[in-house]
Amino acid sequence: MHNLKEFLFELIDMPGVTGFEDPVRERINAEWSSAGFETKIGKTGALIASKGIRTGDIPRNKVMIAAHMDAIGMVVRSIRGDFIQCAKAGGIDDRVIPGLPVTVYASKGREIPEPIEGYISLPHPKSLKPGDEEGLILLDRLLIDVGLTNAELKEKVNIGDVVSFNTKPFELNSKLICGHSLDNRASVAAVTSFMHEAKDIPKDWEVYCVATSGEEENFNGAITATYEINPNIAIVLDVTFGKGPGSSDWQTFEVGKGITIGFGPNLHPKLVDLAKKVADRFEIPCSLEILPTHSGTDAYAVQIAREGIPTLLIEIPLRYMHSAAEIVSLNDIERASRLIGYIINSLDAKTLEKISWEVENEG
Amino acid sequence: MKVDLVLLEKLCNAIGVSGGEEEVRELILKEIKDHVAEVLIDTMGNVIARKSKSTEGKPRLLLDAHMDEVGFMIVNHDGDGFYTFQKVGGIDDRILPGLKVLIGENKISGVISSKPIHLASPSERKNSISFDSLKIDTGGNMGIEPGTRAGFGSQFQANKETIFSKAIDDRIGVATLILLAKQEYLNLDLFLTFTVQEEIGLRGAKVTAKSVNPQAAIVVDATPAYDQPTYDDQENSFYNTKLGRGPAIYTLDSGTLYDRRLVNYFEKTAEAAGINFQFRQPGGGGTNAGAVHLANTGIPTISISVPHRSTHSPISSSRIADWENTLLLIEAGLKNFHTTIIN
Repeated sequence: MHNLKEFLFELIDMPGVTGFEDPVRERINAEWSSAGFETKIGKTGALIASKGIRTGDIPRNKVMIAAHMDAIGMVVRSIRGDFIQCAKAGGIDDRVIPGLPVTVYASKGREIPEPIEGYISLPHPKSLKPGDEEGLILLDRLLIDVGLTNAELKEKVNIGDVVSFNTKPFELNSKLICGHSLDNRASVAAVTSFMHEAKDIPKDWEVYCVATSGEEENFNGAITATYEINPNIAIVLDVTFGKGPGSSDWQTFEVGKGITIGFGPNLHPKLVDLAKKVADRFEIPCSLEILPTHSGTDAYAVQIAREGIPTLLIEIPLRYMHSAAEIVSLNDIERASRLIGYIINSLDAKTLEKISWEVENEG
Repeated sequence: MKVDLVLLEKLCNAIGVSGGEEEVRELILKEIKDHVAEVLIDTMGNVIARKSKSTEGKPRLLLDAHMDEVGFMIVNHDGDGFYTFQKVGGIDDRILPGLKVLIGENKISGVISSKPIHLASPSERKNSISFDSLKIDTGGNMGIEPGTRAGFGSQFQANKETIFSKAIDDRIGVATLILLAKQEYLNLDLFLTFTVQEEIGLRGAKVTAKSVNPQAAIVVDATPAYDQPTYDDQENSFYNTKLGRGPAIYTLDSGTLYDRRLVNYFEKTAEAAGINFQFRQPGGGGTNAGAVHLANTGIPTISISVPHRSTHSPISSSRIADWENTLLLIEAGLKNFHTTIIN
């Protein structure tokens, strides 16, 4: 029996820094296989799962559901004294990381890196360049202390070794989960729940689920997996900004009060209408999320893959994005999972015709 | 004598924000009550213990460690489980965004908010997040009253050599005193004080030192190390202590001119016993010694501290060997102590 909360806790207590997704991919692969999907790993590291494929049949339509599994993190850039200094992998926010527990994956002389736990410390003001002592200290000046001496560090740690957040997940009031990498493991969990529920695949369709890699850096998983699958429709899942202290404008949504469907040039308007109708019919609390240009998600890459892919974006509100204490609601994850399920069930032989642009050709 | 990491873990994971030391005090009382002749809690909440009854003619010596730690107090419920808070003690604002806290006796979990970088303006991105914009988020109204204290939500960890924990300052001193209280000292009339409110102005020790009125005092605390590289790899001229070099004996800090006779005595004791030690670099900072040495007509005082990095943070680090040597040094100093040292 699949347990959404337990699986999500496992996922966010696991490294999968952008470009180094192996540990989290292995766990997702096991879960997706147990849901009855065929899985394979794409050439740049995405996990691709499929169901409903019958060889020898007339080619059927394909729908791809994609959520990125990678998370922001760091890589070692130097060993200085008894400390490690790092560079960013993905959009780390320098303002929210001092004091955090981290794990360094020390790889020198090892096939499987050794996890070494430590924390990010603020340097003493007098150790900094005059003029830099006050205010924001950038990641390249912060010091990671893992309790090893300079000689021990040099023996174990390579430049480029991966460093991930090591905050432990916990539950807050009212089905809220707090932890790191909920961007975007919350969506991976939603897709996984859908896969466990997906017993009947519409007869005219094949379903592909993808846990993409590298979203936080260059969308490499979305670009290559979409090319490989060549879907007729794509549904991208990601997280969006939750309302919270200092964040309350039109770009933000109440956590736990429903999910969003993206609207804007990055998404296919007729697919948006279709999704809205499904959400209304099944009474899934859902807001339209206005995205005037770039959606900032895999949808940006998916939409222009191959000869263009009709793309839909479903998002889960999340507070404190890119901190190590992100917050999402289990209720919203369940809603996202249900909405995908209902959309997939609504697909039929005429869906592609319904979402195509109308052209009147003369003669 | 041996260090006891299980004891230290219990003490470090307890929350005792200045003025709200109950949880730490309970642990201390439980640990020492069978090993001391008398124990009382004074009006401030300090624990004062006397090691033995037959004390005639023996030097009256004080060992002090503070129970409290830095933390927070909830000051207003802004609705929907978001709380305005204040800091209690010296905490760098830059460690606050994204921090897990545990609130009140029931240890309700909360996190400190931060505006996501994606929504921050260019000038907001260039600066650290201002304290005034931060709230504690508990995910919904939990009925927390203004005045409730909150502490760091991190948990103690240790590997073979290093301790990573909140509140090493000064639970490592508390643990040291508890272990020392379990030994016998036939040469001393030994008092142990576990004091409150050190982090907000040495308030507890200002009372205990007067009421115990010892002939000499040893303050056991944790000292920030600052043993780190500089941006341009020039000499670090600002370090206090170095991890791995043993207990730090103070000679001068911003609050105290330390008693030279005691400094010399402990230096000789360490050398005779072959215990690794270091002198803390003279300079700013201070310990309860600042209050103790000025009590009554004056009390010869020494500070001996365990070095730690990242003080007043959710995670600080100390070397287990440094703690062990601190324990051994103070034990040797106590067992050989006699009044002629301070005459």
